[in-house]
Amino acid sequence: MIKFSDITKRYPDGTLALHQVDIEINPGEFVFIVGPSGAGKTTLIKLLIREELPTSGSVFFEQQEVNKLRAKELPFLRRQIGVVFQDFKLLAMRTVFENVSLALEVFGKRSEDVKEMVEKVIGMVGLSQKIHSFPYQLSGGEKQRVSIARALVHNPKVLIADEPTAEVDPGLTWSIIDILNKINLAGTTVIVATHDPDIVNTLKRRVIGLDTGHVVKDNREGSYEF
Amino acid sequence: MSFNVRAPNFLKSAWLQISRDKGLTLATVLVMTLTLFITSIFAVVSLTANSVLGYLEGRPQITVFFKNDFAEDKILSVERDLKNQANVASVNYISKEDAFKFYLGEHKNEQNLIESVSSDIFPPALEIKAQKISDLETIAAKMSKSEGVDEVIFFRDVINTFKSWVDASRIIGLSLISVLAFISLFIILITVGMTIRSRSEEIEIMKLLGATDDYIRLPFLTQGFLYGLVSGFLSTLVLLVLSLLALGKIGIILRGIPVPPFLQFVVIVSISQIFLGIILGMFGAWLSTKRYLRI
Repeated sequence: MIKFSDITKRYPDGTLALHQVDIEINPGEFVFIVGPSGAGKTTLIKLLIREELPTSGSVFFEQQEVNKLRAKELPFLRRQIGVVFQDFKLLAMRTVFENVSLALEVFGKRSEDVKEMVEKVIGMVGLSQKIHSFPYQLSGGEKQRVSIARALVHNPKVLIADEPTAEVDPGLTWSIIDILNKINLAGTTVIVATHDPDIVNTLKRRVIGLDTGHVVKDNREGSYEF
Repeated sequence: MSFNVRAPNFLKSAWLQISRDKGLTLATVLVMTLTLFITSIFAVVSLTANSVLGYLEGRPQITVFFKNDFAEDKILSVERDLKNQANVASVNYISKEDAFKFYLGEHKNEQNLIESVSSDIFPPALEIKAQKISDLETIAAKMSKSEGVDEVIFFRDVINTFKSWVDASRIIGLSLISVLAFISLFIILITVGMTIRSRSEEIEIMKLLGATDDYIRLPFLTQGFLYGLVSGFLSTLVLLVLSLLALGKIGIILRGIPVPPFLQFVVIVSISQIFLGIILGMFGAWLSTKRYLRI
């Protein structure tokens, strides 16, 4: 279970990103977090993987209070969560294969030992032909799919995707959503931050609406509209 | 070089880091090699000097020559008196005949030096070793006033000069080594630090993917290890070549003094400096990870 309890986040420059936010997400759920730019969607994700600490309140992942974890415990939290970052966060000096296998290498596994697993997930996102390409040789959409493959390869308990279709051609948007849907059906909790009304309205899953740092709606089988 | 042959990830990363900036790598290895080489030269010289000093200190330190007509039983009486003194370690009587035999042995191939020489011209003598070098002067002064003594010679000045030279060279050597070791550490800190900075984005991503601090730190420690290992080997290579060239000259420099186990010293120092290089490299890299990775 993921729980944001009375979370407020104010950045050093004074920006109030989240204000007294309470959210609970159960295992196996598919949740859209929607809202305009600057609503606090990305901050919420950063708090969950402790890329940021809350100004006040607590974040829980299963039994662990994320904001109170010791530095040594942090890697083990992050290994349970796969994240598709909005800016992809791919390593420029590594190929598609090496970028994806990195998520397993940080566990101490060698890329040669995980070849089959990595090739399978790259095939799943439709990039088998580009497996030896470097990020600069890929389009924005292809980079997005590498980021998805990397987030999936270690079978995380939770998959978080921050604007996963923002840079993707319309034709590929639905194949990505299809992948996320299948991952969810296999039991993984999926959290998607988006401001794409089409996918939210079509999938009819739980929708949490954020606006200027406040939770403005939380509907089962919701839609994008506020 | 390719690491497709199942090298561990940290070794691949370390190699990539080293090969990315060849100029910096070269500068680091050269400074470390210089540090280790100078350290090893001082170590070999110091070991050799200690060995020579040990030999000199073990030699008779005072030789008392008696007048030719001074009776042997009186000399033997002086010997007995000396043996009872607390500041005397040993006393050895060299008769005129003993001195003559020693002379013959020393010049057996030089007939012109042996001809017309008899034992009469060699004065009888006592060779005395003191418990401490500081006792030499007291013993020598006392002996020079004794009856029948013709001349007293002692090696205090030679030993003391040599000792102070060894001490001074040790101080200069240690100071120089300290400065060079500090420079080496500093350059490793900067080199590894620059690598860390150039990989900061990669490190941030690895952390977000769940990499532990040790996983992130290991390639940098390996980088320091490799710098130390390569520098240690390079320094050893130069030291071995120079030692082999110097080997023949040592006997000439140390005229009359038995040649110390010079090559044995070189081997001990070579092995030590490889370990020293590795420790220096890894310590510098560890300091750098502490400073720049903040882990």
